[in-house]
Amino acid sequence: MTILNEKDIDKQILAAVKKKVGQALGDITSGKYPEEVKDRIVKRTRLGIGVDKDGNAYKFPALSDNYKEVRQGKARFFTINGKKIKIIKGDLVKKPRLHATTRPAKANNTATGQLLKSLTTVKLKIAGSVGWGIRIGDNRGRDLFGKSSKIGNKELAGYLAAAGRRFMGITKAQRNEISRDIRHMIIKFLKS
Amino acid sequence: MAQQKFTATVSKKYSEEERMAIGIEMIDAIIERTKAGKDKNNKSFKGAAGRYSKGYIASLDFKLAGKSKSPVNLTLSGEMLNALTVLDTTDGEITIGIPEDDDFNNKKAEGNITGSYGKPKGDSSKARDFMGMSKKGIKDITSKYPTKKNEINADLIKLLGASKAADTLADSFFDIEAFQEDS
Repeated sequence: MTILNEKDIDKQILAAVKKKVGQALGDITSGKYPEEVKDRIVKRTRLGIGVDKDGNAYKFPALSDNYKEVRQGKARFFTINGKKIKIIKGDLVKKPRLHATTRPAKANNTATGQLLKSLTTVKLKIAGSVGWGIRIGDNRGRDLFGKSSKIGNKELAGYLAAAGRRFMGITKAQRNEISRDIRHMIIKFLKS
Repeated sequence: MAQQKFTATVSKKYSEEERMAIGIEMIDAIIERTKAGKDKNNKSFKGAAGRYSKGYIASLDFKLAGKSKSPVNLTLSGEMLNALTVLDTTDGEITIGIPEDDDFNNKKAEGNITGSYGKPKGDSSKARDFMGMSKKGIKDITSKYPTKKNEINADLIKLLGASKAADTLADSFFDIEAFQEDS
């Protein structure tokens, strides 16, 4: 829906608005706002809400019973010579170091907490404009059981997305919120 | 599951731009009002609807969201309230609500409005109806938009100009990991 017919409005006021928008843009760029957007992605994910490629929010599918048992420290699952085995006692079965922001049965893309903690923001100079990127830091430390991780965070995010737990992106509602926040910043500038 | 929306009646003298500006302000007011723990009639949520259950307060989600015990503000991830949008405007009418294809937030809104919260039947004692605005609430906003067209409404132009710019900027946040370089 068109919300502004530039032909019909006073050109001087429009020019003043555009100038102030430029000032507001500088404030957003130098401020902490992009970091806040990143934190909102982390919060949404920790609450178990994903985003599909069209920007629709959805609840993450539940964790498998096997993985819940692993996270509870009740069992470990291995494959040997093509055969899957479940180990329920012994040195291999121990309490995992689950991050404080999750629980054994909580599907929120969190085990050690390293993936969501690795997100950072970067300013992008786009031809004729400016933007902000959210990216994943690839390095991972120890896994749930203290061993070195075999995969990086980016690969892990890919696995999670394939399993229906896509989290990188901004939902339509989050986009509405960003738009509203920026509008408020611009209007504040206009009043100053 | 039904789409959650409402239609506000305003003067037929308003242009499409004015109705859009009023709609934008109505959404801001609904979000602010709901976050203050008030329903569509600007009354505080009462009884069972006015407090969180002990189980919910003790839940991980409650902690992760950094929520307070009061007021009840219908905000966990913020998805539901932020999904509100101006769906349509026609002569004398502004329709606000959640887009029809947004199942996730329509379900959440329906749960709050009817008090069903995922259960088959609603419970009016637990309902938190935020979808709407009182006549006074609408008038508070429309009073800023005079229907006499003898001069330019600078506030309208500022709001729509800022809104247009903000919409453009809101599309400037990217998931870098999804970038694919053209060959």
